[in-house]
Order: sequence, then C-alpha cells, then structure tokens
Amino acid sequence: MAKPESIFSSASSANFQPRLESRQLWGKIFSIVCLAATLFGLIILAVLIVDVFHDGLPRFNADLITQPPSFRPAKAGFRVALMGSLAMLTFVLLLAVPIGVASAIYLEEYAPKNKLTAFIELNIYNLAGVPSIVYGILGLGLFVRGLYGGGAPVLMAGALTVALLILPPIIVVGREAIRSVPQSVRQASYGVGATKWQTVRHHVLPSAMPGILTGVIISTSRGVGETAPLVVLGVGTVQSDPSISLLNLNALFGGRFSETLKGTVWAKDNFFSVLPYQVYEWVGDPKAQFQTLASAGIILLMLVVLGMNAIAIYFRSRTPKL
Amino acid sequence: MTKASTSSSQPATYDLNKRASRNLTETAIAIFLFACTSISVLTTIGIIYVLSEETIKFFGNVSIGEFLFGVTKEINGVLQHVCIWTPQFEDKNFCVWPTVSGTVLVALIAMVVATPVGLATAVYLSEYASPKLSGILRPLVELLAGVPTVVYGYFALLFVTPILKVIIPGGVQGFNALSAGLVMGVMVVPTIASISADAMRSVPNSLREAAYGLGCTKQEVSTKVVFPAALSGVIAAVMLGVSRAVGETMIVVIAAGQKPVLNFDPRQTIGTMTAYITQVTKGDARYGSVEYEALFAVGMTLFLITLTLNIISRQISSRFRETYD
Amino acid sequence: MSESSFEPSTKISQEIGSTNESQSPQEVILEAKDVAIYYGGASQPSVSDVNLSIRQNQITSFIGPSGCGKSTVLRCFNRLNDLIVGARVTGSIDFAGKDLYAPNIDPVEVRRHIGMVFQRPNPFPKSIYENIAFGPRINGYKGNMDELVERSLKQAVIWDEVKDKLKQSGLALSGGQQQRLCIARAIAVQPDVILMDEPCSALDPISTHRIEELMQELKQIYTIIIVTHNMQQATRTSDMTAFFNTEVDDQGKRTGKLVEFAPTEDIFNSPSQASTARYISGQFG
Repeated sequence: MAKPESIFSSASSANFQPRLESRQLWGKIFSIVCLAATLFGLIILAVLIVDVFHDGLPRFNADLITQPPSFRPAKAGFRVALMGSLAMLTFVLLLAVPIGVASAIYLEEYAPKNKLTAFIELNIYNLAGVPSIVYGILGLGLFVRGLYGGGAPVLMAGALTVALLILPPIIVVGREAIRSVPQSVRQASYGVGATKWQTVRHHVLPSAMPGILTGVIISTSRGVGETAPLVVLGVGTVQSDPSISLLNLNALFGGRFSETLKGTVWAKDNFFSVLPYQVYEWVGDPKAQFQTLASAGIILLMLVVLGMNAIAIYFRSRTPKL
Repeated sequence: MTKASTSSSQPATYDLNKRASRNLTETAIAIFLFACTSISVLTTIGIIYVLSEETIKFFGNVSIGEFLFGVTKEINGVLQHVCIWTPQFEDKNFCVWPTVSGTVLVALIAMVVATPVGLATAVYLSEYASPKLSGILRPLVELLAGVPTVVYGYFALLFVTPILKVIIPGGVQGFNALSAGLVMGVMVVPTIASISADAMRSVPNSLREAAYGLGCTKQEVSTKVVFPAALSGVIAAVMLGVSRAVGETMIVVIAAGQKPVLNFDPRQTIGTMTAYITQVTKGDARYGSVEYEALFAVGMTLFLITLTLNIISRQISSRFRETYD
Repeated sequence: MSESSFEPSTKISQEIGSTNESQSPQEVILEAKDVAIYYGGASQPSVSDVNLSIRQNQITSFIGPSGCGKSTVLRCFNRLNDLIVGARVTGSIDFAGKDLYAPNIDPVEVRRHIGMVFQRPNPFPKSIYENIAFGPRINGYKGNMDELVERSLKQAVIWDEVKDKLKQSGLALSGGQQQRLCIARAIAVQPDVILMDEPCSALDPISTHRIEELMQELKQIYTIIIVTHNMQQATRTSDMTAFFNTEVDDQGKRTGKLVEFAPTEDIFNSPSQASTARYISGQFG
C-alpha cells in the first residue's frame, strides 16, 4: 500500500517496497554501534592502565628490577621473577614455535584425509580449549613429579608445561593462516616443478607468515602472563636468579662429567619464579604496601608484554604480504 | 635432463625419473612433521593419564554418588540432603556442583559481555574500517588478549568491585562473581573478535559485490551475506571464548573468592573449580590426602566439561557450515 | 498482472514517454554524456569521452583490448565503482531521464533497477532458493516468493535442472549452471537493465552457447549491456556495439576512450574508424 519512495519508478516497482530511508538509517546506527563496540574494550584497557599507573607509579623505581623478594616491602623487588619469566619464555618459544608450525604445515599440506588425521585434528582442537590450569596439572604429574621427582618446580618443568600450553593455539591459528593461502599459489609452484617441501618453504609459509605471527603473538602473550599452571606446579617465591646455561662448560672441560648439568637449566635445583606469580603473591597480601608493590610489578609486567606485542607487530608489518 | 644426441629422426629423451635423494629429503621432512604433530596426541594422553591416576584414587575414598549428588546428613538434628564442597574443613564434603555453579556463573556473565562486543568489533574491523584504520585498531584490540590475567584480577578486585558496591542494588561482597565475570568478558573479547574478523575477511569479495549489485546496503551485506558465510568461523570463535572463560583461573581466584556455593547470585562470593585447584596446590594439602586427590577429580571434571564444549562446537560449525571455496 | 515466462513486461512508464511497439525505434533507457572516470585521486582519467545511448530491449556489447576501461564504464552504470575508494565519475549518466550521479540518488536504489552478472559465477553460499529469494526479500518484495523464484529460474533456463534441489547449496552446481543461477538471481529483483561483465569468460563453450541463447530470450524483457573479449560473441548476440581502445598521449599517459558506437553490423562490416577496423581484423588486442 505504501508507495515506493524510489526516484526511479518502473513497472516492476509496484512489486517492491524497498523502504530505503529506514534501511539507510538502520545502517548508520549499526555502524556506530560497531565502532562503539570496538572502542569499548580499548576504553576499558585505558582505564585499567591509568588505574594501575596511579597505584603503582610511586613505587616504580630501579629497586623494582634489581632487588629480589623480601619480607619488607620497601626492600623487595621483582628481579628474580623477571629473570625467571624471561628465561622461561626463551625456552617456551624455542620449543613451541617450531613444533607448532611444523604441525600446522603437516596438517595442512601433508596429512592424508583419513581417520588418523581427523583424530589428530580433533585432538588439537580440543587441546586448544583445555584450560591452562589443566596443563598445570599435567606438568605437575609429568614434569615435576615424573621427571624431577617432586619438590618445587624447576625452570625446564615450567617451560615444558607452558610450551605444551601454547602449542595448540599456535597450531590452530597457523593452520588458518596456511589455509588462507590461495590454492593458485601452490599450483603455480607445483606447475614449475617444485616439490611439496619447496612449495611450502618458498611460497606457502612466507604468505602465511603474517597470520602465523599473529597466532604466535597472542599465544605467547598468554604464556608470559600465565600464572595458573605455574601455581599448580608449585611455584613459590624464590630468592635467586634461575640459570639458563645449557651446559656447565667448566665441569665438562674440567673432566667432572657428573657435574656437566650442575647449575645449568637442566639442573634439579634450578628453581624459579615468574613475574605474574610474584604479582599474585603480593596482590593478596593484606599489607597495603605490598599491594602497591604489586601494582608496580604490574606496570613492569605490562611493559614486558606490550614490548613483546610491539616486536611481533613490527615483524608482521615487515613480512611481505601476498 | 639429458638430451639424446642429434640424429634428426630421434626425439629428445628426458630423464623424468624420481630422484632418490630428493625423495629421501621429502620423506624425511614428512616424517619429521608428522612426529611434531604427534606431540599433541601425546599431550592428550598425558593429560588423561595424569588426571585419571589420581581421580581413580579419589573415587576410592569418596563415592561417585556423593561427588555428583551430595549426601544426606544430620544437621541440627534434622536429616537433610546437602550438596556442599568443603574438603578443607574438618567435616569434609565432596559434592562438586558448588564449584561448577561458580564456574558457570562467572563464564555466563563474561559471555554476555564478550559475545556482542566481540562480534560487533569483528564486523567493524572486517567490513567498515578502512585498511589503515583496521591496521591500527586490530593490534590494539589484540592487546586486550595480551594483558596477563593477574592484571585483570587486580583490576576486578581493586577497581571494579568498589564501583559495583556503589551502583548495584544490594551491594556486592568483597569477593563476588559479577566483578570477575565482567572483567573476564573484556578479556575474552579479542578471542572472539580476532578469529571472527578473520573468518569474515576471508569471505570472498565477489560475494559482497553480488550483494551490492542486488541493491543491499552495507549493513545488509555485512549481516546477511558476510556474517552467515563466515558463521562457522564465528561459532568456533565464540566457543573458544567460552572455553577460556570456563577455564580461567587468576581472575576468579583474586576477585571472586574461594568459597564454592550452590548459588547463582552474582553479587556473592563464590568459588570456581579452578580456584579450588589452586587452593590445594598453594596450600598445605599433602600428597596422598583426599583434598589433594580431589584436585584431580575437579580437574577431570573441568577437563570433561571443556571437552564437551569443544565437541559440541565442532558439531555446530560443521552442521551450519555454508560451504564456499 | 500475470506474467508468463517470456511476456514482455510493461516498460518504464511516464518518465520517458510512449510505450514500446515492436516496429518503432526503442526508447533510450541509459544515456552517458561525456563520462570520464578517475581512480585514486589522479588528475588524469582512466577512461574518458564516453558518449553512449543504450536503447531498451537491445543488447549492446562493449568490445576492445584488455585494460581499455570497458568494465570500468560498465560498473558506472550501477554505481558499483562507488565501492572503490577514490573513484570519481564526471559527466552524466541518465537512467530513465534522471542523472544517476545526482547527489540525491541512492546507489542502493539504482542497483535494484540495474543489475549485474559478474565474470566469475559468484552464487551466495546459501541454498539455490535463498540465492534467488535474497535480493527480492531485501528490496521488500510483496508478492509470492515461491512463484518469483520459480519464474526467475525458468527465465534463466535452469529451472528444470534445479527444481528438485532448491534447498541444496548454490555452490554445488557446475560453472555454467552457477552462472545461470546468478543470472536468475539478477532477474529476480526485476531490474530494467542487466549489466554483464564478461559472463562467459570462465565457462566452457557449451555453457557459453546456452547463455548466449538465453540472452536473446532475456532481451525481450530486459535491456542488456555485455562486456566481452570475444568478438564473435559480440557479432552473435548484440544489436549495438561500442568499441573502446586505449589512447596514449604525448606524455605517455594512457586513457581509455570510446572510439566508435554503432549497430553491430556496421561496426564489423564497415567501421568508420581506422583503429576499429584494425581491432576487428585481429591486428591487435
């Protein structure tokens, strides 16, 4: 019954009621709502950062990084925890990224479409959704008790646990990235006689790199900030820096072969702590000064995390795009 | 390649045979890649083994009936059926539902926040923002995922809770589910937004052109063509968000409390499954004690819940999948 | 008003005057005057000097070598170039007497009247039924949707092949079938003009032939403009032909230009421009 508001009328216009005005209005409202949603999280983040800085800045001084923990808040610092975080992170990356990318490549490029592959895929998909705390339980049973026979956890136990934790997300996102490389790229490469590995290495991987890097960014940020699995492993406050040396060269060259692992990252007493754990310890402390210390530690933690994100984003923008 | 020498009546011959060395490399690489992939299977086996070992011991001490259904006890002289979780009291009770309800409550609040915000963000990033703007906004949104959960927990406890105390009718307790849930929602937004935006962006442009060609507005193209085409990716994203919410530990440990109750009032202190697990390992529960074994039983429960979520999510996405190239 | 598959529908009404009779020359439905198109804020146009009158119920083809702007000009008619950031059109394009690029014109509305079929078939990842019903639904179709779907699929000569599988995905069809599905989809919103951008270039010869036959049926109801690389296709199907070519000026800048626009027989048998003659004899492009 309503006349079409269109400017062009033709015989067919009687059949349509395009309601252009209301559709356009709804479209404008929709785009504003979407923009607001995008900014929502950022605004909350800004509020969070302002709040943390407000609380923690007074305590943000060099002591923070140079001092080990202490019972006296004025003298305590995050040095040991920071070293622990950095050390653990290094090994986590060395373990998780190659294995994760290799798995993604296998599943996307090599795996035949059979039940075994389907099973593996289901498996990884599920693992990506397993809570980090369950990985902590795994680490507790397998690495702390199994590998090292109990007691406080050592750096490698933590690194292995967190590496396993971030492995599935890396694989999932890596696969998406590899999958989004168009078939035409592969076909062009095969077409000139390249082997599968050559195609993957020279064409597919480079194109997928931005997406893979995204996955590594997000997953590794989680790894750095992860506290829960380490709590379950039994991490506590530790007084001295962990070791990251791979071999005790002194012992090796001095003929003391039984001690080649002493003081190395593989050692049984290479206890460690991590930055977020230390923050957690002190957040819960009733003494307000420790809470301030905690917020200063958060500033530190955020700097580390943001720094990592910035580096990865830089890499992503440097990688040639398809 | 070798060419035969030149008598003009003989065609050139080419050696097209497979190279042994090249084949070897290719096979070796394939095997190596497979080995890496199988680590994930070993991880699952490891998880199941570690969880099962202690869970079995647990159910040697506590009946499955009590775990799932509670017990009938005499309280103040009256016989009542209760379902409570008090492993660390003298009077130990092991009905699991209070911990589960705490988890569910917080996760629900989180998803109510994260899903609309995350999806709207994804639509904006994929369909509306110019490439330049997108390049700025997207890393910023991803930053939200990079914030360590202890920081969120701190924020929930020391910033959000005081505000809620003022604006919520009836006030909230010092540790409560609402703070934790709201902040957790913000944490989950990037998971949903990022993966959904990728799914939407991978919808071919030719589909958008076809829709515009039929006389669609931009909003209609986004919601009626792009979004449905990307639906499986979107659902997968949301489900991953739910899993994260369910399994999240630090936010709830710091801000929601550690007192599991069978109660869906978000203003109350609650205790989640994850909170209990950290309580035990951080506290002085000895190896071999029932509380310690309960940790694994709860862990197993958590694991099974997230497993079910994952499997359902996969079913949904393949059933609704609108296939395209 | 009942419509069987191939009854010519009533033409565009009062705005442009008398209704059609088969003997009198058909009315001009689209008129391009001095149209030039600029991309990316450039000062030099990519295509310029386009002057065309498209008549109703005719098939007009755009021919010419690659890159001379045929598709660009085509996309101006349904304002699809608007989607490209920095694209700018000067001159005027009148549709039924109204300038398509006037500030008060909504491109969304234009596109219902001027539809498009694309080079690669692009059905939506929805069921066949939904592919067809989508456009009319968006535009507020008031009639019986099932009938409209059936009618559109019949007009596109694909009904018999899909009538038992309307709920199946449109992507399950072959390339030629998908393109006919896309034609049916374009028809479903009952446009006045159908723009076809090299619709057969991704198809095999048999599918191509079927679509060319289809076009002859369709022109009884719609006006068709087709961009084609295939000169034989132009001679087989079109009433009028526009030949585009790239001109290089003294500074080496390349601009697409409309060289000649005439009835197809004239273009191919007695072209008035030298470059036209060279192109159709295969000397370039």
